[in-house]
Amino acid sequence: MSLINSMRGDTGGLVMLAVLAAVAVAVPVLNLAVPAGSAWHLSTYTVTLLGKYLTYALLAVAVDLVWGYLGILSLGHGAFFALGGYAMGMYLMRQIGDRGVYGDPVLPDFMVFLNWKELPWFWHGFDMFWFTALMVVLVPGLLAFVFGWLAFRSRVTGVYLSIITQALTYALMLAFFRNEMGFGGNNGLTDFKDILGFDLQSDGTRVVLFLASALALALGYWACRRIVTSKLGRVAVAVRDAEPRVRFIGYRVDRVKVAVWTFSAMLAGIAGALYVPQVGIINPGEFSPLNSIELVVWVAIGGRATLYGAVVGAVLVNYGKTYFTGAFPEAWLFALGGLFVLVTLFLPQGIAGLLRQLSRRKPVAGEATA
Amino acid sequence: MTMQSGWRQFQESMRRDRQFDFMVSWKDLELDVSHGPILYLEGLNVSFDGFRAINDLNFYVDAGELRCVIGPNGAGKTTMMDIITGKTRPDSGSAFFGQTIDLLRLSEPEIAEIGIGRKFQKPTVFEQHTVFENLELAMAGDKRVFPTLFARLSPEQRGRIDEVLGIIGLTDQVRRPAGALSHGQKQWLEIGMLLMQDPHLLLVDEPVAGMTHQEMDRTAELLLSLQGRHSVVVVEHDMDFVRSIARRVTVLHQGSVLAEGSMDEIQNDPRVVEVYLGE
Repeated sequence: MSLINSMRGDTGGLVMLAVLAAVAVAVPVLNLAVPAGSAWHLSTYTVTLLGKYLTYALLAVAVDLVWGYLGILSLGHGAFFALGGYAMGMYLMRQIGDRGVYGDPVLPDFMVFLNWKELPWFWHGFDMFWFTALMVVLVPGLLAFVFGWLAFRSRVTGVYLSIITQALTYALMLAFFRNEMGFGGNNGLTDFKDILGFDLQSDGTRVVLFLASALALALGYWACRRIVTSKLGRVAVAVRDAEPRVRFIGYRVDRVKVAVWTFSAMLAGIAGALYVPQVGIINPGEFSPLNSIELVVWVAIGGRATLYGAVVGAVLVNYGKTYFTGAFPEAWLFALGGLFVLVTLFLPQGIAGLLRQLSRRKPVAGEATA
Repeated sequence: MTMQSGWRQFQESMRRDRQFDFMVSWKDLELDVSHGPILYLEGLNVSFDGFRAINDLNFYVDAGELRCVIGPNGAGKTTMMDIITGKTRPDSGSAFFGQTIDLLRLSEPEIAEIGIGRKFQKPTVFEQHTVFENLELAMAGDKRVFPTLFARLSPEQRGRIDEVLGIIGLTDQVRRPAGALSHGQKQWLEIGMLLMQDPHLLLVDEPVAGMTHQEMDRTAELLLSLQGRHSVVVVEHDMDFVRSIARRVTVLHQGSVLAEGSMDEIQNDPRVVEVYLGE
């Protein structure tokens, strides 16, 4: 019931989910059922690429939830994504077992290389998938909770908060670069073999990972939609527009922020965990402040405070990135910067705003009764 | 004498049917207005960087009373409101809500929850939300995060929103975004949002600034209709407006009460004329 309620009036979201469902059906068929020689065959490379876009889209939805609806411009959401990714990476490292270069049954290669004798305490448990799945949400969630608790209770807002989030992800990047941290230093975690016993290189596993990403995006989207259509969502928008007023009405603004912020970080963690097995590597570069800024640009281009705009923005910009970095490698950053300037100047509501304007010209049946 | 009163105090605090004051949660406190006043401000002092904004202020408001507070700029009107709502902490003095509730021990949201509502000088409504949603958000009720996430409007709550819409005269604007309302309508909506919290005490800061004469008349009617059920403190500059609603007027000057009485008494008080009306 609430599944339908929370999607009511969200035409863009419904279209997005319908397209997502169609893609989720078409991609496995085109990849697995159509023979490799056919013009209709979709390469496994493309499947993985699409899967990667979908995890980015989930990350963008998480950012839109806090930026569009709560007014917190996070320039450090990449950190939560990367932490989720590292948790999954640790599981995949443990799955390698004695098939590594050094053949140590327990220690990952980089630890043997560093002459470590035993597994650091925080690597225990990551040989179990359920534990990893828990950590994928708990670690980013806990960091976000502690960070949010401190920041929001002291009423740090606006630009200051954005800078602190930026510093957070930068500090984590520097920390993860260090070999002593025990996360593989600047090489990160890679050379993964299999997940839950399935070969990561096989077409079937790739397709399942793609489908898992699509499902995670759909569920994450619905969960965010559920939040923003609830009374809590209306409180969040009120916090965005007139925070002191919300406090005077009697809401604990800091708690509202911490709750939504932590949830968003958990979503980002899930996105990161799905991203890593598909790209096959996680390294400290994922913490780079530039990543977090780029992902804010996706949301801005897609259109803030629409959720589906974030999905559209993430997929389009990343498709553009794949295309440009292949065709004109030097031009990509200029293209991204130019796109951001153009959108800010001419499409302040992003692509979603443009779509809304176009659909408003011709009256949509039944809209007035909503 | 001191021995005796000390003993009595000891007996009082050791009564077995009572908890120690510091152990009582603010949520269990009942508003007690049995002695008349709903608000007691006594001996308040506040200074900002050496400037004494509030200077030994004593101020009382009776339950159900509509009180106007006037005073020149910098007289401490807004600071007084800030102290009552917990935004500013005084350097010394006491602020009690009824007999028992110590406002200085409570945080801003707690003060809002025990029944003190404040309307700001500048109308601040939630512009992106509809009139209905503005009232819904302001409604008294469980405002913790998870209950809010799963909140549903009950028929009684809908009824309460309709009732307040009637009081503030915005029934036909219910689906409009608050940002699209006129200045006066925003002010009424904000008063409506205060009413949704079922406050015992309303603090209203310059309600008619920037209003047309018709709007001022409607606002006066609205505020007058509230007295009795709620206690209302109005801070206002507009003398005509104050005259049209006030029974009792308090004049603030340099952070303390200069005079108090009916509008006629105030206007004939030479000190008031000197600092304020005479200008």
